[in-house]
Amino acid sequence: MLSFIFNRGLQIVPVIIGVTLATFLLAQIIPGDPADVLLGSMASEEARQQLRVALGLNEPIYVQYAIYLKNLLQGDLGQSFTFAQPVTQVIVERLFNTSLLAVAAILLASVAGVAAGTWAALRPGSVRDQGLSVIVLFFNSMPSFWLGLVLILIFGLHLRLLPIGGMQDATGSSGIGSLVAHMALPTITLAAWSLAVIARMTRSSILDVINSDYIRTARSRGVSEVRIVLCHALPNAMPSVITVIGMQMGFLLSGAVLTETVFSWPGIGLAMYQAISTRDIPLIQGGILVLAVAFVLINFAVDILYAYFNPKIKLG
Amino acid sequence: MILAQSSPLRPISANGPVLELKNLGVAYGRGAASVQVVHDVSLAVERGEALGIVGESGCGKSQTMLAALGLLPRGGRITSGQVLLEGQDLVGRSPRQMRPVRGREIALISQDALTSLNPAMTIGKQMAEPMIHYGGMSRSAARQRCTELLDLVGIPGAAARLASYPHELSGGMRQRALIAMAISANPKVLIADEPTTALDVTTQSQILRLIDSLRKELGMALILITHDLGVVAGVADRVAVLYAGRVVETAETETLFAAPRHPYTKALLDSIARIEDDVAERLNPIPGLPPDPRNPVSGCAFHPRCEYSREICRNALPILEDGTGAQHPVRCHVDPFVSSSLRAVGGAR
Repeated sequence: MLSFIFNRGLQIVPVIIGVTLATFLLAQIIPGDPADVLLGSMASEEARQQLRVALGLNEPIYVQYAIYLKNLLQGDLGQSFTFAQPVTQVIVERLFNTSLLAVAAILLASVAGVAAGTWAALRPGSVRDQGLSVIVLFFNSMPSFWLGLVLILIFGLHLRLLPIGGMQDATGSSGIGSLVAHMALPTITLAAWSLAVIARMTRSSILDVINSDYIRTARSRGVSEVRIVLCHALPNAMPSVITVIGMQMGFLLSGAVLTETVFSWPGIGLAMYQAISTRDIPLIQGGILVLAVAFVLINFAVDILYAYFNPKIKLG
Repeated sequence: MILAQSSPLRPISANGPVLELKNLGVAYGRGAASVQVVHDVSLAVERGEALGIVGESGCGKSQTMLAALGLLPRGGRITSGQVLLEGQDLVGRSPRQMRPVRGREIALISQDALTSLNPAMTIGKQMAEPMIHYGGMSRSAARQRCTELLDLVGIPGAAARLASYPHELSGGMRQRALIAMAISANPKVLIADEPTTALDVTTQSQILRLIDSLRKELGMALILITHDLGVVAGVADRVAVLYAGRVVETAETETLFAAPRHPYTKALLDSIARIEDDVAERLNPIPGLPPDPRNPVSGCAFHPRCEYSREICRNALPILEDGTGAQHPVRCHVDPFVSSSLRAVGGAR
């Protein structure tokens, strides 16, 4: 298992290098002079020239990339002019908030999705199974910002049960109750789509394995139906479900941009939204880099889980 | 013997067959789309007896036995008849009521051990599951028992094998592990569904001998389902031949081989390769294909492939005689080997 983790870990290195290259090139392919973009069109020619030298923009492109990598390794992602702070600082401050929301959403989506999918798979074709299909279709067809707004309308404005935004600090300094209340609607909004996908995948994977010979063997030995599903079918259905959960975690990170904007959640997503509206290139670059690396690391973790649930992979 | 300790010896004197199927019918689907795959099958197996069930693929032999265990796949149902376990009818019991029967009274060994073992569970864990959760055993006692069972079925280094996953064992070892799981609760009836089909010839005979010796040692009744009369010859006391979901002939194994009455049985016997046969002599395959249960054949289901068929065979379903006198039961209008069969019984080999 350890050598599997090591070998799989080695494969990450070229991917990360590719990601840095892509974010670096992002600044290159944006039309116009980066100095214009960074300083705005009102800056003087002198100031532009100074910035070009400071950023090494007059060097050949591979030297520029080397400088970018060197800065990156020192944790320097440049300066965000919207926030008037180093990009690294903006991201680090907000990474926790986004992670909190993403982790809560993926936990909700996974637990509720697997449970709902399993529950439906117990009685294929039944009312509950068809009911689940309808809910899945509904969740899958709705854009998350729309769902967010509807939730705000119902729970925030009509029922006045939950705050609709205005979270300032997710570290819980204003009490855990306030944190949970502020998180509830964004978490549900962010989780809905993934929950539906995970539920559908769980259902079909369980139905795939429930007709296997080994399920019949277990039944022929008097194993109860509950144990059949939980201890025999579910573990064998897990690899495909985990793959989907892993992919959903990637989507959650991008979904966070919209959800955080709708609920003014102080995370990377909201910062990215602001950066994009103001053409804050260094912050966009930094944000994309962090999200992409997070995506790669999540997939790495998913592969390890996958190997854990499927003993045959450990040999390879 | 180790196994005798955990279950007191059963009274051998109890009367009647331990498992009896009476007029069992199995169908798939409902209404007009309903397909009858097993018709009116009656079979019985006595305590400690070995019954062979022989037929081509799709003749309903596995379906019959799955029905007996209440394990028909989705869409399948019992349409008629009874499954009597020591006189108690199992048909119509809920899954919850069937659970104590499965494994403890009637156990199953399936065809392909690779797909019949859970790939995500160690051998030890899946073996021990019913012992711990339904047999009230402690983990260590179950572990001990599993080691003994693996030892009994001839798996070397049994204790170490408990931690193996199915894909880490060879085909023969997997089949042995599956057998160990099946006998773990001392069942009264062991159903072995093509237990040797997925194995090479050497391993086949080892596994057959193992099943047979376990049957004698543990006093189980054995129902051996196979398409191979050669497999039945060495093990079964009695044989039932199934064709298109119906029993067409039953007899003591010796009698069936010496004097088959049904043309289908005769044809099956003629299609076996024998080592003493002249190499130049070709095997005699049965012409044609078994009927598709979706398009039932009129009259005797075998008549399109039968060289002895007459007018009546096309029109009327022959009944299974109850076998009076020297004759054993057969479902055939023509009964073409009457004289030869009488002769053969007289001068049995």
